[in-house]
Amino acid sequence: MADRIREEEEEDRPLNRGPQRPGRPAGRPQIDDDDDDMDDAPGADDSDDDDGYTDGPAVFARTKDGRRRNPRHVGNEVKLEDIDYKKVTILSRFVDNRGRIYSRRKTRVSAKMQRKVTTAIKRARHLALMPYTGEHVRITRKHGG
Amino acid sequence: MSEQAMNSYELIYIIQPKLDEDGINSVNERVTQAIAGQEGQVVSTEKWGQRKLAYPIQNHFMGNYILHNVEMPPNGVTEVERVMRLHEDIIRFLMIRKEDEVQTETEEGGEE
Repeated sequence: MADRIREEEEEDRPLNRGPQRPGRPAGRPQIDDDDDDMDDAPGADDSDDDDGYTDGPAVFARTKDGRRRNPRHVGNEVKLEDIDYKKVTILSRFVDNRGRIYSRRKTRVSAKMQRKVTTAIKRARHLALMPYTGEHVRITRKHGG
Repeated sequence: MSEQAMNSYELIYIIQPKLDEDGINSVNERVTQAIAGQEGQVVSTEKWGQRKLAYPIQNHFMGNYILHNVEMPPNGVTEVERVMRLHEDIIRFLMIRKEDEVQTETEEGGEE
């Protein structure tokens, strides 16, 4: 089992900064990237529409200057069976760098999936595999890596 | 007593980090006994070794994780959970029923 976990972590390495830091997924840089893409290719807007999702509420769907924002596709290629409280690297994608679970509006994942993800994250938190709060992230970082 | 329905459970717990190998094995032994006492059996065991905790529990920053796959009749769960809760070296545990799609929860942990 230990082996299985390690394998997954390696697979996921490019998407996450490291298996030892479950509380901080590669969330931030990805957001920036998305925004950059928008700036680079404003003409690509229409092609984003065919993912089958309707837009979220206007607050979320538009940025400050009125441009449409890309959906973040957090859990795009994650399979339903892969959601498990032991697979911290996968779960850490659904969480921001303070350990908050992303809303469905952001994850863009099916309701069934989101339900599974939330219970899995909550179990992982209970077992100290993931942090509950940003405070936890700070404390453990201070305490030697 | 008639044939009892067996469920499969996943039992995972964290042992406090200061315990040596022998200590860990004795905790392991104790848990296995408790399960056997409820006419259940441990199907497989995985030791994850020492891991960093995402937040301190009872002032420990590290913990030894152990995972058991267990076959046990459902009414043994409370007793095993009681044993886990009373054991001082187990700082956290989680027991869930495994059933591929339908996952019912019997969790809860040893908070201090």
